[in-house]
Amino acid sequence: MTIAELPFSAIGLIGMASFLIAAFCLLGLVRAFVMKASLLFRVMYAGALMMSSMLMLGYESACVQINSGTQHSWITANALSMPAWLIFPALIALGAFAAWVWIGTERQLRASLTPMSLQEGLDSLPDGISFSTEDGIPLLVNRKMQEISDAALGTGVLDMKRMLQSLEAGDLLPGCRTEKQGKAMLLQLPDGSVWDIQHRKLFIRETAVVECIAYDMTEQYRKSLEMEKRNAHLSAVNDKIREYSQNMDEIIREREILAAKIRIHDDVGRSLLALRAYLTHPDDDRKGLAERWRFTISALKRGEFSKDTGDRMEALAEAAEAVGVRLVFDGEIPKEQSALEIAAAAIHECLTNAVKHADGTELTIRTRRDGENTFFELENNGKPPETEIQEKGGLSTLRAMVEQHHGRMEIQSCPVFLLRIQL
Amino acid sequence: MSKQKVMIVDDQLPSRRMFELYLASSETYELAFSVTSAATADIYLLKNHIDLILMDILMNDGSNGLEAAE
Repeated sequence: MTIAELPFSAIGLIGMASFLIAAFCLLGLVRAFVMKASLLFRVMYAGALMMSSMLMLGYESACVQINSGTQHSWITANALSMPAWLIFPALIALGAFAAWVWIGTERQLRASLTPMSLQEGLDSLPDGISFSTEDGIPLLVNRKMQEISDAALGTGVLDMKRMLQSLEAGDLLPGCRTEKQGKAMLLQLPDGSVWDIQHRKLFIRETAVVECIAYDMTEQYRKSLEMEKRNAHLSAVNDKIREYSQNMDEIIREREILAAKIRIHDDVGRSLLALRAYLTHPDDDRKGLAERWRFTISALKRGEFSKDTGDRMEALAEAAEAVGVRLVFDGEIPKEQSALEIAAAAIHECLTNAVKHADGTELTIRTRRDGENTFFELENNGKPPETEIQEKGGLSTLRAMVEQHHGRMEIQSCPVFLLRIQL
Repeated sequence: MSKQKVMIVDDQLPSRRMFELYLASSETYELAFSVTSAATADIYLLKNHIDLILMDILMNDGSNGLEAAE
């Protein structure tokens, strides 16, 4: 049985199937050319296309000619004379072949690096990247860069040079802003994302290409803002601590004075109660009561029982006596606070050195005034130094104090130790 | 057995007298020195062995017990 003996609808169906296979092969062929598939696949597509086209042509023409009653052409006659049992397997085989070529092409494209795969790879990056000529003509732009350009400027990347100029100038859509941080240019988009835009010129085969990359800095930017806020808070806390520590002495002193006043108040109260009790019972301890009142009065008056003379020289003399050294003052120590402080510090230092190193029993402090200048000279009666005195610790602190008050200090090591200070 | 020597350093007379009274009645401790300023406290230690120092932190003359302790 030939195809010509088949019903008209069957012949039409054969033609339609041939058309679909031909269309599929044509699509595959175009794709193979665009994606630059291997030559073998292109040839196979071309062959399948040719066969399916011939079948399509033959059977579609046959349908037309049968309908119109015109004489069959050569191609139609050959198509109709084919055995009916052959055509359907042939169509199935042709369709399967086209599908197999498609799958093979797909596998080959996946395994090979093509311009499309490069684009796909760049599109999968989370950061934006673009390459353009020096004039700004885009050569390769990934999806993320297109999105960034669209969000910032309202258009995709059409001119890289212009895009960079707009970013520099801040000519952006509302809700966007740029910020220069050193060499980096940060772009903030309305959705809150922050991008570090960097560009540089490359030379590829002696052709200048501008590479522009947009790094996603959203998280780092957010953390830097948090850190700035925290630093500001810490700085404020530091200022408070500094203020407190500067005033701490005064605060503690006032607190202690208040506590002392409260104690004295309580002592006076107890003393009054004790007196009242004594007046009621005169046989009670009179001596204890007298001692208590003596104690209370001295605290109130700081009178003859008080040893709080506030006299530094006296305190130093007492301390010197406790370690077996006699202080001999030749001349009057000035009353000015700064001179007094320096004199006390010098005596303290020389007294310590006299006891520790010289085994001295007497420290002489000579004071002389000459107009506005004051001269001190300190000498002990102990062993002279065996070597040149090295200034460290107390002596260097003393020198710093003297020089801070625009004075001069001189140390003599031989024949005897002498410390001279001029203020 | 000899008593432990104590030095009192306090610019407030009531505080010094209170500690002195305590020490006077103690069988373990005895008063070595009672000093009004931390500025001279270290001098006493140059030639005297002291077992315990009771020292105030801030004195009216500006001397600092913490610095003296250092």
